[in-house]
Amino acid sequence: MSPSLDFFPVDVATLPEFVAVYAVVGIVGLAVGKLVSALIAGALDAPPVEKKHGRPDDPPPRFCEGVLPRVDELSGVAYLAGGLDGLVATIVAEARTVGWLYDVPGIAVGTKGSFATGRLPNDASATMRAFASELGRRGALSPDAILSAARAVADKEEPGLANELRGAGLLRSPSVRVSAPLGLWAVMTPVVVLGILRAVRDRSHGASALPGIAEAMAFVVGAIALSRVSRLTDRGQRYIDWVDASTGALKARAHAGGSENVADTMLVAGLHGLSSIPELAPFSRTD
Amino acid sequence: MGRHSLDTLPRTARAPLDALQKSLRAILEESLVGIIVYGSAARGEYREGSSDLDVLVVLGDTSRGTLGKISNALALARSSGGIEATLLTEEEILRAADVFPLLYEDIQKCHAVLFGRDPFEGLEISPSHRRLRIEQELREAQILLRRAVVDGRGDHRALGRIVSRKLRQLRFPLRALLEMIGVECQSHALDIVMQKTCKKFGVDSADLLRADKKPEAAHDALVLLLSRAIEVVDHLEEAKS
Repeated sequence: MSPSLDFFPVDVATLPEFVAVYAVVGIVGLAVGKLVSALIAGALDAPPVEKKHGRPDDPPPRFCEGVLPRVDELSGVAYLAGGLDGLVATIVAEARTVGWLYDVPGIAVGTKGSFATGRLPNDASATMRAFASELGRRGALSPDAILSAARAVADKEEPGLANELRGAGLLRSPSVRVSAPLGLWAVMTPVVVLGILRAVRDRSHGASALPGIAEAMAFVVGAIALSRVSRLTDRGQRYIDWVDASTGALKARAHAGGSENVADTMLVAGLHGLSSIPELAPFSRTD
Repeated sequence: MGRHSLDTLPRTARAPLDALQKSLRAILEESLVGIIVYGSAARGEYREGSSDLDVLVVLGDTSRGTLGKISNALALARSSGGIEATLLTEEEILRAADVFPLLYEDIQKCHAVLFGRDPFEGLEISPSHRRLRIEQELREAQILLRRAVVDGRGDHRALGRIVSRKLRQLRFPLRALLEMIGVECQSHALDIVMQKTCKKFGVDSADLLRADKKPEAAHDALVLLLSRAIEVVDHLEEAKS
């Protein structure tokens, strides 16, 4: 077996030299693989669906960098920033800030029955109506019951929202997130195989196989860690970074407990989670 | 006149003001009459992280189309820099001093012109309009406080929030009242204005300023303060006549 493994680069000099050269090859491989993976993801990301130009005074397109999100875009922003948890946060934030989900006086905050619902406003959104209906099925309300009701609503809203965000070129499709890491593995598989072959060769020459195997395994772990492809497209990430950078004062105000504006509170909760707003703290344990 | 500079304003606060000025000038061109900074930023009392930047945008045209054009610029200024903008025309500033005497007087006493003309130069505010406005604001706060307590359904924390909010709103009319009755109060800080007001009207300021810890006591102190202040402002008119 050993004669067939005496070829470059498996037979590079002594074991310590191989370990050093192999470490360099592996690290470069991870970097190149990650780059290839990102290029593949970028190439596979669907371009945003182009909307026909309307009149000059038409409102700007949805989820547009440079335009602060409007109320009907807040769920999308929350989903981009925090996935289902972000969506749950906006639902709870809206219900609390509008005031129809309120603390029951005399019951310790956070315990069962410490919250109650009032009458929904006449102009309540479809999401709030669905949330009220879910809460109505849960009896005495605790933070956990409220979060589970919000999650049930978020689960129902997710497919439509994800579809819209993919159409806008902001969210990656599951197939891109599966395909893109193949670029990384295409680079790293030969690197890992090289380490294993060297280990087999070293063993057949009576030396320890451990260094080659250990390094190869380390690169497998590194490749697995780097295989994760962002949920957001580059454009989606840029958009969320821009929204985040453009709402510093809102975040500071909400954190200081000074915001009673429903849209502001929903936006901050969706971007930074329920724990970023003291008023919503009872719900942040599972946030 | 109370024209001040914004030299003491930190760079993090100055940058969004400059960005807003640039956007509005680009969008509105000749329709932008002026941009005036007032409130804590103009008084040199701006505190990063907790103060708003109060800005008055003086427009030559307030049509829906014009407002639509500047809505994103103003929303961004608010969300990124905490800029709270009030939109007025030059004529409104001249003609509405009778109904907004406290706001106009506050601006007139201390403001910085960021761009354009200063419409507050030479503006006259009548003491009787000021007295009426103070009484109106105090009486309105009294009525809204009652309603908020009823709507709070006995919620302890909600009561604390309501009282805190009312105190912030009442800071300006109460400070103006102190000035009318000859009590000096240089500061606009909430706790100082309330301490001076409480001292004048014989109310415990310690109770009033602890709405988060003792909401019921703060509420009762506020009710007492309002009734005594209203009695005084009401009799100012009689004394005059």
